[in-house]
Amino acid sequence: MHSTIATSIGAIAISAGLVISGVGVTEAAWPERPIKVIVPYSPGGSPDQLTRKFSAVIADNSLLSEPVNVVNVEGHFSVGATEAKNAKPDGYTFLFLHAALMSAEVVNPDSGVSWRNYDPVAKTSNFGLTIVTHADSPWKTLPELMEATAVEGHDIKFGVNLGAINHLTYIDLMDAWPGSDFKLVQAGGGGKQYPLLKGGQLEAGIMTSQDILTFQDPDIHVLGYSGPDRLAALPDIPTFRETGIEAGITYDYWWFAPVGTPPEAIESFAAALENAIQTDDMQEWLTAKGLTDDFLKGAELQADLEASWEKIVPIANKAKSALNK
Amino acid sequence: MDGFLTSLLGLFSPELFVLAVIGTVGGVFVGSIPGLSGTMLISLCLPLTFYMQPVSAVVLLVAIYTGSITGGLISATLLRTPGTVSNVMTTLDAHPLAIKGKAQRALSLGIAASFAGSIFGWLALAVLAKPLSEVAIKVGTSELFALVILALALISSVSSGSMLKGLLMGAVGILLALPGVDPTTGVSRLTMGMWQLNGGFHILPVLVGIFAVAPILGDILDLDRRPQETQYRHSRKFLVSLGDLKRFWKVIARSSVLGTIVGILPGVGGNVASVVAYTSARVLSKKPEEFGKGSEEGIVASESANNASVGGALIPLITLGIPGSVVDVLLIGALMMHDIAPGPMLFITNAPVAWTLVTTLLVSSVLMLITMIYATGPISRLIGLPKQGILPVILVFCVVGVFATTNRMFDVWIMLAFGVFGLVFERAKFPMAPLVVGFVLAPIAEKSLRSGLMATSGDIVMFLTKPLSIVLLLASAVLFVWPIVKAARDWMARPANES
Repeated sequence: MHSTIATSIGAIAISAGLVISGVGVTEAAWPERPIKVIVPYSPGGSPDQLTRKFSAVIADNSLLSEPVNVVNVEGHFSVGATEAKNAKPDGYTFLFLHAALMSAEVVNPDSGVSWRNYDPVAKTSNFGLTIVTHADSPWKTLPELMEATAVEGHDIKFGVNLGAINHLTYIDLMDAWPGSDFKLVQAGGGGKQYPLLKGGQLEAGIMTSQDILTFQDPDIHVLGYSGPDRLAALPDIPTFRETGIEAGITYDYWWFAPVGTPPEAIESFAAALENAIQTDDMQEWLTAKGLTDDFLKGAELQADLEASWEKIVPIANKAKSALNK
Repeated sequence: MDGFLTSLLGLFSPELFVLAVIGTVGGVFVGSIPGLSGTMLISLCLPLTFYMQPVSAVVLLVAIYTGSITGGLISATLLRTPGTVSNVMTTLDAHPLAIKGKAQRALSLGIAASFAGSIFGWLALAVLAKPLSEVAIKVGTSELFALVILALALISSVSSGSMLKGLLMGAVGILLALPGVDPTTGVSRLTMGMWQLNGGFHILPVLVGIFAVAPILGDILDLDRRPQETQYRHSRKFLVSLGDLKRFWKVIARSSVLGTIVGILPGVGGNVASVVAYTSARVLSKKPEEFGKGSEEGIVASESANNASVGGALIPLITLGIPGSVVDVLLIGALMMHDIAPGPMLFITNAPVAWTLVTTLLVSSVLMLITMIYATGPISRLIGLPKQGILPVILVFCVVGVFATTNRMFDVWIMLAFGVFGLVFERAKFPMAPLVVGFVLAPIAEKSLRSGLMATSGDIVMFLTKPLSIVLLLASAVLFVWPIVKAARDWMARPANES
């Protein structure tokens, strides 16, 4: 029996010893050790792809002396966002997120997320959403679809993720066409709407340009894009405004740090991101993915965040009241 | 067909082929050791697959699945202890044959039947998966909801042990799926003030806790027990002839069909398949008195059915995203970690993954046959390895694996908590299968119910007007009520017996 216990303890000690790695020491010049970026979404999605691309470009061009490691935190995005908020502000943990952060603060105050919980680092690129239908549907342009909702009333089933950014774009679109109203169906993001559209359980939906470029499916007909200009990757898709509808909001991708992070870490990291976005490699990638190359940091970024917040609050409030209905 | 051939050829690339071999041999090995199981090995490999391409992950996991369900045959024959629950019925006849000195014959028959069953299940999968997917894509929210409810009812009532306990565990599984941000309104619910629960329970720590930590803790408690061994000298003689094929083809065909059908039923896998096939073989046999005393027919029925269930169980996974067995819950978990949702769209959005599920089953069946013929000898010697050396190592890997994947210590505590929970409830004879199936299916049921209601402006009638959903819901109602009626009847009958 003694030998049994001894063997077990020995086995634990050896295997634990094999897997425990060294722990970091105090820093001198940033960065001294690998940098962790929390992406509060699952691997493979749009935010994850973009963060990993930045990580690769920074490494390929030696823009930082240490690697940038992407860490996915799955589940609702507030989990990863809260983890970043609670992380030690030592300059080695960052958060990557978009306007969902602002929307959730209004729609679900219980989630405890707020964009003011972080020190802003940079804004890298901007994206819009597209309105889609099944290729067999009778509505070939955005105005035709909007007109149909006004006439047929509540009959057109439109997929959204209630309270999330695609719902905000939907509300923005509805505001521009008084009298229009779809039958909203909770479906989730573009990836979730795709099968429902194909299977005929949704008649229209809303997804990112990245989704469209990923699926490349002739069954999915794209009616319009919410950005100010047509995308190089989707040259045939008109903007909302080109179709005569005065609507269209876009969302930014932001990098944040826990409050109290050393300013030199924030500045150096923002500089590395700025250098990365200017590389040909990154520019080509952004274009191919339907993203713009917007970049902001420092005081300009702070002002831009305030402006985004002002823009999002009223729409998010409408989303909230739609949810409580 | 193109997708099939590309995928099949792809499996012979060095990386995938090595994974298929490792998976099959590893599966046979853990399957053969009582206390270790394919479910456990797959749970342990889940964190590992997170760092692989989805196709590689599928190859490794399906190969383990195929190997483990056959490996249990070895210990069932030689130790009278089934290596996995799927081999319980095999034990009844294979062990008596072994005691009569015919261990080699019992093993050979079992191996041949396993291979035949496996190939049959694969054929069903290969022929049905794609066409059924195309039908399934049109399945509306009301039908999907009804289907999930039927699956929950089925798994609760068919799983081992008391039906009421099964229902209870199914309900616990559903409860566990509820915490987190409400998928429809975005409001946090049942998080008990813990922000870590905003995303709900992560599937990995729950599965690893229940399927790896709990059995390890159980094994540690049982370390002093030693199984009863039989004399066995391995020879590579494969004691199956063409004459056997003539004698047993009917049993094999019937058991394979039954095994495939049971496999298709959500949540129930190899164990139920072998029980059903074994029972029907005994009823229809010309020599039913031999069953349980070393009947060759019994071995063939049990082993061909449990292997056929593997292919059958993958059918609902691919076509509807509903697990056909407990191992399929783990496969869904692996795909979910790669942001791939199994279901009717799999052939469209992730065709390589869908085809790999099909082709790996074929390749690993052949690898399993080869492994079983050549490696039964060495494996039979390894069955007696000192477990006090292995178990702690596995436990450490559970902790490391979960932490490495989820990046949170919180999930490690969740895993350990589920380990202890699983151990306690398993000892109290509460089945774990309904719990994990409920955990995986509840979100699907919730989403289809609420989306469906939104589409009809809250009108519940749509669930009752579509013929398919009505039939499915009625069937579920019968399955739900039956255990309660039966328990009530038993309870009424008891005082009369005692007095």
